[in-house]
Amino acid sequence: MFVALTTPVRWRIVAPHAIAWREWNGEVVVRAQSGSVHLLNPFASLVIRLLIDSPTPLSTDELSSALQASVSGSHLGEARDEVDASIEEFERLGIVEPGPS
Amino acid sequence: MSDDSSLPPPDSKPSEANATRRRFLRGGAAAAPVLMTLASRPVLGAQVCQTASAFGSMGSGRAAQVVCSGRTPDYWANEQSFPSWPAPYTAAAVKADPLAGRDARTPTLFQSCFAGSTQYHNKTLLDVLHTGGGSPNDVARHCVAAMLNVAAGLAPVLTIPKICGMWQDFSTRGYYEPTAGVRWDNSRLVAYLRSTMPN
Repeated sequence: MFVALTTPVRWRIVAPHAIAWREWNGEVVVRAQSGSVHLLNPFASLVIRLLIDSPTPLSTDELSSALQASVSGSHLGEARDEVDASIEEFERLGIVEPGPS
Repeated sequence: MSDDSSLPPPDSKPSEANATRRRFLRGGAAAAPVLMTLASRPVLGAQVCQTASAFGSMGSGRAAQVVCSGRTPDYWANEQSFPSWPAPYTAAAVKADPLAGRDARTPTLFQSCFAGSTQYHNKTLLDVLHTGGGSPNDVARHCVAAMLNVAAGLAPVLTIPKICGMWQDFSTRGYYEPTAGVRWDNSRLVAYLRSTMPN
C-alpha cells in the first residue's frame, strides 16, 4: 500500500522584533510590522501568543493540540478549524509566514 | 518582539482570561480572528497589498488592510538611488575613504542573494535590474526590486525567503505556485510583485 507523506507547514511570526502586543482580559492587540494595529478575538489571541512564545515554527496540528490541552472542554476538530482560520488571516495580514519544517 | 510598554497596562487577571477562553470555546467560534484593525495611515505613494496566497482572491470582506510603498526596478536601477540601497546590499563599487570612515564595498551579486540559482552567473543585482525584455528577466528584476523593498521596510507582506522561493520556483519550473493548484506565469508573478511597489 502506498501512503503519501507530506510535511505539514509550520508557521512563525514575520519579523518578530517588529511585533508589539498587549493583552486585556484574554484579547490581544497586536501592532504588526506594517504599523497597523489589530484587535484579535480570544482564540486568535491564544494562537498568536503560542507563535510568539515558541522558539520554533509550529504546525496547525501542534497549535490545535496545545490549545485543546490548555482549554478544558474543547474539541480538537473545533480548535483545528479555528486555528486554520486564524493562521489564514494572520498570513493575509503579513503577521505570520511558513517557516522551515 | 516585545510586550510594548508604550501601550496601556492590561486590566485582567489570569483566572478571568482563562474563563473567557473557556466561554469562547464552549460557545463555538463565531467571531472573525481579527475583530478590528486600525490601519496605519497610508502615506503618499502607498497602496494596499497582500500576501501572494491572498492576491487575486475575492477576499473576505474584512476591513483589515496592509499597505506597501515599494519602489520599482527602474527606481533601484537609477544611479541617483544608489545611496538609498538598504544594507547589506550595494549597487556599485565604493572606494574606501578612511577620512569619512567608509570601507570599500563591492557590488552585491545576484547569486549571493538567490543561492542556488544557475542563471545570471557573476551578474550583480544592478546588472539584473538593468536587464530588459520578458521572461525570465522581468521576473528576476522584479524579485531584486522586491528584495530591496523588503530590506528597506517598504513591503511588509513579503519576506526575503519568500522572494527567493518565488524565484527558485519560477526559474526551475517556469511558474510559481502561490497556493496548491494555482500556477502563475511570468506576467502574473510580475503583476503581483508590482502590487507591492507603487513608486
